[in-house]
Amino acid sequence: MEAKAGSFDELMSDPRFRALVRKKRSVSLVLFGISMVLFFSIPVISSYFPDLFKMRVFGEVNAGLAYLIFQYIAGGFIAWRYAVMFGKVDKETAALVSEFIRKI
Amino acid sequence: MKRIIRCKPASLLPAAPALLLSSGNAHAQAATLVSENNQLMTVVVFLALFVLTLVITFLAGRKNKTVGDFYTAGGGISPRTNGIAIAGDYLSAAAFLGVSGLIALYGLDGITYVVGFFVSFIPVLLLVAEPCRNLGRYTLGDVLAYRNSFRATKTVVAASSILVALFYMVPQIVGGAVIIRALVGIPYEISVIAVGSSMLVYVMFGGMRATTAVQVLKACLLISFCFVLVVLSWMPYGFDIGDFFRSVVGNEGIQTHVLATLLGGQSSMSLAEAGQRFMDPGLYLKNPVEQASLGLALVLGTAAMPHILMRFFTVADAQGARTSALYAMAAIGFCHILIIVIGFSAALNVGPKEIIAMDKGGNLAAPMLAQFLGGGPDSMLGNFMLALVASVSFATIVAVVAGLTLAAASALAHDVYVGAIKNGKATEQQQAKAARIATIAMAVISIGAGIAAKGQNVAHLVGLGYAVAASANLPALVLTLYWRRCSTAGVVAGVVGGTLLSIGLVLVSPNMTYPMQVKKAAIAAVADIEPRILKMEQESLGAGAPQLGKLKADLAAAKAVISSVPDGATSMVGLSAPLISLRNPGLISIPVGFALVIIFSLLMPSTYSSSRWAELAVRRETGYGVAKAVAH
Repeated sequence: MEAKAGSFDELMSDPRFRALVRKKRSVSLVLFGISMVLFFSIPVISSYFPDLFKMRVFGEVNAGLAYLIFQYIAGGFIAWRYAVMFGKVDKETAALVSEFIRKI
Repeated sequence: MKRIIRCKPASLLPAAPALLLSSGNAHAQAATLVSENNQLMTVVVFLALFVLTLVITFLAGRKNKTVGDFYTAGGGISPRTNGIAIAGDYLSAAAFLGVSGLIALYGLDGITYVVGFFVSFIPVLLLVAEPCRNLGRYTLGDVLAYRNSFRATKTVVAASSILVALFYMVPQIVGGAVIIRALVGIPYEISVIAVGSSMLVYVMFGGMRATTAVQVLKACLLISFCFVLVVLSWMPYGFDIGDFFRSVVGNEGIQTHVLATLLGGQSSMSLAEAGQRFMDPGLYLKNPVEQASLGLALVLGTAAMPHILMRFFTVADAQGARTSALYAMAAIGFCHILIIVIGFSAALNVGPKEIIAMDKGGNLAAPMLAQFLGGGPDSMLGNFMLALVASVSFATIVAVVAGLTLAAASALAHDVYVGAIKNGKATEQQQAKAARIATIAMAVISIGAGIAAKGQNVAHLVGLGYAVAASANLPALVLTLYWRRCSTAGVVAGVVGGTLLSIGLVLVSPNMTYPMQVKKAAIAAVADIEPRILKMEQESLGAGAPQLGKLKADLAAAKAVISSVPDGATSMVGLSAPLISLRNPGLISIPVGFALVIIFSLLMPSTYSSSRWAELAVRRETGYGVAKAVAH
């Protein structure tokens, strides 16, 4: 069933919908912020604190190489965390939409 | 005032001028990496791969019945397949050949460069993948037109999408053709036509299904091949990573390369210290502001690249889009890690000096490593490996170009013709015809641009593509999706302003050639070389000295430059020197793009945009109504 324009306003003003949107936005923004800080710290460290990257971690592998590889691990973790959080929200969303469809 | 057209080396990487594959160099090379005796084998492998992709196209093409099938495979692609296809779409020749070469020549800084291409998928996943799937049908224009003026939005977004696709596509074709020429000796023009024609066949007859299949095949081939190279590289070290890197740092060829080439023979470092220096930052990327500007364009631009966004319309729902992005990140990240090892392995096993001798930009590092690990240039397996790498590189280029063509053609046919011209009222037959005509038009344009760009510096176009996407498309997309007060005027101003500003800033940047600066450098070179030649001749070293010939050639080249550049010659836009120091305009153009959308939305609010906000917000979050609206 297709909703009328007014019913979208109704759903949008539903406190549960607003809470759901807030939850999704806060997860996305926090994860986005973390990823950007991690990524843009690379030029900052390599240009202004290069000695940090030159520190040996194990054998000939230094902190610079380890940190760059860590970007992939961190990116994977961020993606996984996002998927888990949004996976949970999907169920709440589906319940809300079903209720909404029943009403209209 | 006289003007001179630029003529610099071509490249596979954005904003990497020092490193570029020199097309001039490649043309000058008499020998190719694949010897004459083994060219037949290479051609057979090429043809086998080509026939395989044609079969895939034929099978895929049979399933296409509607326009939706052509653009988005009817939304029936599984998230896993779509994720791998996104990786196939995104892992360009720049990533495989360019970055492995960068690492082989500059060590750690090469990795710094490639990380951005992975991190850029985080904004795709977090900000755009799901909302776009919930709101869009075939193109970025569909999403933006959801709550903005249909015709105005579709027109400006289609123009910027086509520009982004072309900016990204031309360097792929040019760089790819030069690489193929250096590998197997196929003439530049034929290579460009081969790439363009293959792509046309895949897209025209197979649409999104065939393009997806080719991209999945390419991604699987590329990742498998990289995996084999890594296994062969680590095998002699018993898969001990510490031992492998100990060998890299202790390698005399790398140590000498760092001391003599990268540090210009001016350092008092010991050989051991020079080896360790290869693992440290600062050998290639030396300007943090430039690095941040390029990084910003990469990280934000990917989320608004039309060919990437389009892939999210091929799955059934937002959950599928999310899973696709996860698979894409996994495949891209895994391939990047393999490429990093390949870069170090090429430095260790082939040697930076030998890599530079074949190609100044290092783009042949991975093919040379493949040949070495297979047993060398005289072995059958070595040359088979080389044939494989050449074919995979070709498939890589074609797959990326096919995705870009489909995105550009959909913008042209669906947004401009069906949207702006027919106001959304076109029959299925008209839409199908428009899609195919647009595909042919894009193929002709890309082949023409590829041939016209022979010998030109097109490196900055990749960076420009990302910059336009990040400065024009992304602000309009993000603010349409998440800001209630965003209006049509803001979207149009942001897209037009962001596009023009990005292009304008590149035109006044150091990416352009400034003839008087070139002439000044040539005059300085003559002043430096002439006394050295005179001194060598006076000391009777002339006849036997091997450097004399090179010095005389350099002198002749410098004199030729001086005589060819008239006084007062300027760049394409009439400048004698760059106005800004940034090569990539992202740091300026992206904030301005966002500011334009915000300012114009506040100055010229739209009742229509506001009235559609609630519906957009609900559908963006819930996907409600998508199945019916999209009719996949």
